Amino acid sequence: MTKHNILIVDDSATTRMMVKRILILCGIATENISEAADGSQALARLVACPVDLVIADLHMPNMGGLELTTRILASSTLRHIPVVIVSADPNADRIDQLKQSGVKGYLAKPFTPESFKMLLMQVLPEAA
Amino acid sequence: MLDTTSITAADALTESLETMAFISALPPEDALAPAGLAFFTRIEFRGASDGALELLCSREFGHLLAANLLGCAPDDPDLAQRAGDALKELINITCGTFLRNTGATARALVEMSVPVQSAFDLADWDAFVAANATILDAEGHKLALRLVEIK
Repeated sequence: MTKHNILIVDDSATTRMMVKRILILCGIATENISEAADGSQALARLVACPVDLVIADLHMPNMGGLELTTRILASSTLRHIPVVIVSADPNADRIDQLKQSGVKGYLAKPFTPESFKMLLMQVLPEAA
Repeated sequence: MLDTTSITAADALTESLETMAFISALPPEDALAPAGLAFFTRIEFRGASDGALELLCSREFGHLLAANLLGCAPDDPDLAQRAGDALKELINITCGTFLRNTGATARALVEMSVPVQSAFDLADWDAFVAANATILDAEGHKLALRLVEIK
């Protein structure tokens, strides 16, 4: 089982804690779980620390999940890092747009730990 | 039409509570106001139709929700600080679920606002409930949810 470095990006500290807890509940093997409050902070962290997966909210101040994904994919040093979006946004068109932009996975809230684990297993097959 | 949609909104709240926080919500035995201080949490949506969801609950319920979402003990000192955020997350998820369930996003792109929150005097519980609110009992805590049309 490979341990991974995971970056959680959400403007709510409580939501970041919640996602962190679900990661632990899912039994995902992690080396380090770091946090960022928006896309700009996330990009700074990605440059500074090794990250194997980004779990991001869609709507955040300064820089949301879609722009974060676009910027990661535009960077030759970051584009290998998969991005998963977790959001309550109900718009199917927007979710299609996310998938077309290169997001590796999308999970609509509310979700169960099982569905979260299933998605992460697709993105990081060796994580559990 | 509003009453039917209010039921759907309550269904979305129930689904969100059960899925994310493992909290069951059922119709209450009575509509009496809960005691103590309360949170009023509201989120607006704009699209094919414009409206808002408003949730009223006690601070104790906010603590229970935060404890379940975060896996904390019920007496964790951080819960008072986390309860408000947990309720904002709940109404955000409930609104997204409600809009998906009603097919609102099939007709037009729907934008949800950032949830806002304020303290609420439970002396006004009856007036809030009388305006098309649905009351639920979530493990001994009363919640009132209403859908408000924005014209």
